[in-house]
Amino acid sequence: MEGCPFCIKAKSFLMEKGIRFSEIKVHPGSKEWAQMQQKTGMRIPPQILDGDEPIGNYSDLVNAYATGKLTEKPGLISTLYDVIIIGGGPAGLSAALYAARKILKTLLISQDIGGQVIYTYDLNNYLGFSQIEAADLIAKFKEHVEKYGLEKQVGKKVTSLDLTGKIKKVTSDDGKTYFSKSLIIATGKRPRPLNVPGERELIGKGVAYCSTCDAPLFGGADVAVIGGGNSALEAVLDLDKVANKIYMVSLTELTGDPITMDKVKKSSKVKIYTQYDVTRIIGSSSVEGVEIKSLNTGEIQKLDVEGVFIEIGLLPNSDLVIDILSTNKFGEILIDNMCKTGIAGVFACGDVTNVPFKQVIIAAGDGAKASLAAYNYLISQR
Amino acid sequence: MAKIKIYTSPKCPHCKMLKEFLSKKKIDYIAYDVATDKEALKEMINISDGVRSVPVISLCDKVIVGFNQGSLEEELTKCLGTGA
Repeated sequence: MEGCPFCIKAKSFLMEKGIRFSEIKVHPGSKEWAQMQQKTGMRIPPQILDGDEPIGNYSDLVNAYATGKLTEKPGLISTLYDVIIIGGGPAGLSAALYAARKILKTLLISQDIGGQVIYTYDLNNYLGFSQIEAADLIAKFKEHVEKYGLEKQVGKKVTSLDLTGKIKKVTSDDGKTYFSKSLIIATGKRPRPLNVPGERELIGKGVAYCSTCDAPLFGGADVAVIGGGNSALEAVLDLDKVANKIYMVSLTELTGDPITMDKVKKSSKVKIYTQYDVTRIIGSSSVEGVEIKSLNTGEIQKLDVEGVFIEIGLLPNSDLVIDILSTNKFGEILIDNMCKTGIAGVFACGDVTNVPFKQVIIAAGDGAKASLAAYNYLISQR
Repeated sequence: MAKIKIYTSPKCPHCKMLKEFLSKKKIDYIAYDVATDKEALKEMINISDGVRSVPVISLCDKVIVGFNQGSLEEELTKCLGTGA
């Protein structure tokens, strides 16, 4: 009923405990009010029913829970996990491994397995592997974690989080809500978009973010690479093998490794525009060109290209928690050396956090730390 | 005859993961390397309404761009029947 404080308390209690319920709104004289009276014999809301069996009012509900009457009923309480891990990259998988080995009831929810490492062809700096393809390393991670029977929801996007109570609630894009005593956020980063007209519409139709994957599809074509750091330089070198002409467009002077920069500058196919901004990507059904503007003179020119490779860095996938958790100016979740976020029971790890040096081995180590910290937290709550 | 065609490039990790995913499920597929097979590249661009990004998956009457395990599983079930 509107304006009923114990109705609000009862709902909060049920949500806090992860107990499924449906709400029937009543007001005096309504059909629902008559039904409430008929089923419970009581005239004051809230009245809580388990199926057709009346439990009573708010304090009866709390008593029923305390005496175990509610939890004995199968199906009434949704599965309550010890830890839910969001993200399936190196940080999330490592967290999952450590959680599974601590025999925590664990659920991993992720849009994919691998995260941004699968935008890389191979790695040469993961301890124990002098050279390994990213897909192979991730397959090994996955196989290792699955050895412990990890429960996972892959291909699902988390759409909302409720971290207000002791029980954390995670809702995915298929409308399902999962309940957990603790949460580990390992959502990583994604390629930063340019946010110019034409970009979004032409993704996959000439606009690309993975030169390792898509450079070979631009054989003989004129292309542009946007960005001035190492990733952009590597993209230019990927394209140098196949493309006809490569325009490199950067807001600043080039900032990558001198050796890579030297290789790029030596290529006869490459024309470099520094101090230039991209104003739009042109094309109807596929990319036909890119419009750039000089920061010094304001002059605008069009480059006729079939492909635009955007390599201007990464953005943390922290949108879900940006208003809930503390973040730095880059949007990275601020954590302490125990991966704590500031909300009890909520941990974060890997590239989505302010942990310096975004490397696979660092993310994996960080995931392990988050899981052990979550384990300590769960022990402290017993 | 495999019902599934996949268009890939040699160094694309998503393509490799896609192949491993299909092999693990024992699903037959034909893979084209669009980095070298220009006819396959043309076909891929044609069936996908201009897509120039890999992997592209053609199954039954559907074309999927990219590898997303969740949505691919759903499409496989629709295309090949339950248990895919």
